[in-house]
Amino acid sequence: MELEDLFRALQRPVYAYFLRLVGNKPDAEELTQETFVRACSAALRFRGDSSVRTWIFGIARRVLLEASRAGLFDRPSELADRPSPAGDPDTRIDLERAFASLGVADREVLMLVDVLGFGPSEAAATVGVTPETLRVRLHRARTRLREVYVR
Amino acid sequence: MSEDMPMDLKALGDIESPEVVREALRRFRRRALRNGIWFLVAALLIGSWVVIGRSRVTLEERIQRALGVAPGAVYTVGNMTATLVRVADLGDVPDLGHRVGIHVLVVAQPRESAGSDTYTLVFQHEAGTLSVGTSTRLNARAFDHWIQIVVPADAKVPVDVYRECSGQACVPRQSTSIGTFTIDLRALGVPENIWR
Repeated sequence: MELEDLFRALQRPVYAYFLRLVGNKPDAEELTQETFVRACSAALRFRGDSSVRTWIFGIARRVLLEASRAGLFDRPSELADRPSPAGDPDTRIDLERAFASLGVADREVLMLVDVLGFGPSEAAATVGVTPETLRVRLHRARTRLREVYVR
Repeated sequence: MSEDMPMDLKALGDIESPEVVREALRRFRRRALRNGIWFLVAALLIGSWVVIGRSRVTLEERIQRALGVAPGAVYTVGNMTATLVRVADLGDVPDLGHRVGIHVLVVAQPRESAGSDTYTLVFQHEAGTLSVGTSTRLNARAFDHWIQIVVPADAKVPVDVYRECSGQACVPRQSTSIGTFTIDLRALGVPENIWR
């Protein structure tokens, strides 16, 4: 598979990851692009120890951390104002608002596991924690989301 | 809603992504090109620096090549003799004046003490003088000293001689002034166009 095809297959989940974490499209697009630029540079060093998805999301996470140090999360989020193209609009907007009100760490584990379908081990490898720690974080994030959503 | 069951969040991933891969690849190529250019520039700079460093003429070579005279004067201070081998015209330095290169051969006679002596010549930094020098040791008792200075108006260049005794016979190691001699360029008949 060509590198471009590989990236194209992961473009949507990476963009969704950034959009749900940073809350606005321009930043999400910029970060997604930066992730793939770095992946190009790092492609020769990729030894296949993990899946390509874990590798790409590991890069995405580092890009996000650098951007957060540069004040990325100080900007306002537009996430909850976005209308839904599918499903029950009210339910989805409520869910998006509830999700957007969570902390970044909670949103990250929920995105990886419950939205993008990572297994606990894969998500743990991406986040850089043990699977046990990830499970604890995931449980807490789910609890908090449920509390906010029900309220 | 059960406490154990996660909520269905799949809908949050249902997002249309803009086309970023093509632009990312373009950006990567631009960045790679830019880094390549920087690497090339850095390599060229380092290469030039190495070449310039290798081709740089030493003070010794400059004194030997420049227009000069060989006065052959011998100065004795203690058991050290300094022979004025060459005085050469090194040209002008902006704001500093005319530079003269001096080559002195220093030979120390052995003393009775068991220690070994090291001699140092210090060309006095009086008003208007600038001295930069190097030494080349020839053997245990002799060394060449090469220096460039701006000669004072009276053409007299005072030189302090220091002796440092080292070895078991002279612990603690110490440096002592053992005297001064003056190179009088006018008295030695060095043409004025060389030192003024």
